Amino acid sequence: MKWKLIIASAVLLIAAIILFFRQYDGKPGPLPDDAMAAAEINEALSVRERRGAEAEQILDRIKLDKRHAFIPYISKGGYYAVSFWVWEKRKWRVGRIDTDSGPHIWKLSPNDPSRYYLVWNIRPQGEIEDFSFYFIRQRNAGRSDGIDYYTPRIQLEQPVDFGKQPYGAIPYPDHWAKLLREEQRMSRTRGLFSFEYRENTSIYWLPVLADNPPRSGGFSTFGTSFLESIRTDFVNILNENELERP
Amino acid sequence: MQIVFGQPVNMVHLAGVLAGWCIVLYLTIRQYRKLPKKPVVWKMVIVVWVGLFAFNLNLPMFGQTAKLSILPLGVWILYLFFRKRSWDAYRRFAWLGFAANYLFLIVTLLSGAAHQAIYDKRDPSTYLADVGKAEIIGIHPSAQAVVWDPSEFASLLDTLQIGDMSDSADWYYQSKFEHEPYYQHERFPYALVGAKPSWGSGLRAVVYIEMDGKGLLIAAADRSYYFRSEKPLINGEAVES
Repeated sequence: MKWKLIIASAVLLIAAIILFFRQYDGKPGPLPDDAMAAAEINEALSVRERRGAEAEQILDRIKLDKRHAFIPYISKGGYYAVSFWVWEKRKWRVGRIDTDSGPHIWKLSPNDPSRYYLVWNIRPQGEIEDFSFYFIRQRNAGRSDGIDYYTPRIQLEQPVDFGKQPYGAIPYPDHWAKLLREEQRMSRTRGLFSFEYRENTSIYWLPVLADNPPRSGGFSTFGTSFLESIRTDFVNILNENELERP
Repeated sequence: MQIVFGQPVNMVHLAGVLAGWCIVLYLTIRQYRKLPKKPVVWKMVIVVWVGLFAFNLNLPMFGQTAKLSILPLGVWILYLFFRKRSWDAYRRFAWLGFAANYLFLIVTLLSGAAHQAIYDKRDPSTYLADVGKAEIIGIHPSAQAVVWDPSEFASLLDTLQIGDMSDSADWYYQSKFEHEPYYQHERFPYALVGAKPSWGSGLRAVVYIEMDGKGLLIAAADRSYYFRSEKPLINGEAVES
């Protein structure tokens, strides 16, 4: 009986140690080089449908922090694709791949807007000269349960020089992050059901085109996630008529 | 009650919950001493804790949500688990756990009342107790470059008058339609971020300042408050519209 107990606890201990080291992230190493990154992307895609998403040319390897990296590439099928990388379990891993060409929001930690990033790899179409990201919240007013309320409109712009940066990754501008943080803090004190912050702000992008008006959608889309820890959102095209111009 | 590190905490409610647990502990010990046949202590503790589990009705009361427990789910589970074995020894503790729900209901109501007595929700300085590290952010293209002085702002807080918000729908239309005074402009184009509320209040609000610099819109979690000032709260070029 005594021996059984000792063996059982030893087995449990070893199992716990193995489990710990399987989950253990370790200290982040250097990013894979272009060839290795391309190989990793193709390896990840090989278990899914490929549809021409395999990497042909890695455009850049942008480290956002110690454990997160953004790697834009051009695919064999000619897509301007983006890949999201995370250092997890002692290895740089491809967490998500998108070939829709439009910008994305990457929330490195969902509760901290100062760690939200705007990332993009947009196909140079000859017509896009510049583009801007917009942080928008609709104006709202009225009365409910005899209480008057008013929510001011938020409209903030972050221009991007497309000629210089056809692809890139920038953190949310300081003011955007601060405003979001303020909103999130307040919503959390509401407690009960709305502990998770309900977002009522949106991010859009608006290409400034040489001739044609912006097309909404129209890009081929292919997005696939490999890791649950990656939280991304699409950024929609803004209808220019919705902008307020004082 | 959820506590997030770095978030404002409602200290009154926290104190009430702690006191409530002390009472539960006291009642458990008293019950334990009374019994001629003593139950196992760790089992007793778990039984009290599981006994708390109940089906609740959420009743909104005085701006907070009170939980009224109806079905003693925890007690039923414990009964099924113990059956005839030693149910008699633990029955009291299971019901004690269920009864604790009503104790916490009283705690919620009392701490809510105490909170209202301590912190005045209609006083702007409750939300803006410390503006030393706060800053003004323009949130709309109609915002101008402004300067503001935190200490002057704080000194003006006491002089604010409650403003009329009943025509907030008009504010909306004044920005929406052509020929209206705020067309394509935002009436409150500045946000004040980074202010700290009164210590222990757990209250949070997003604060906006009107284009003329003399209006303060405090959007708290449950409702909005509007105040007007004689003197401008921020200095900049007010747009004459």
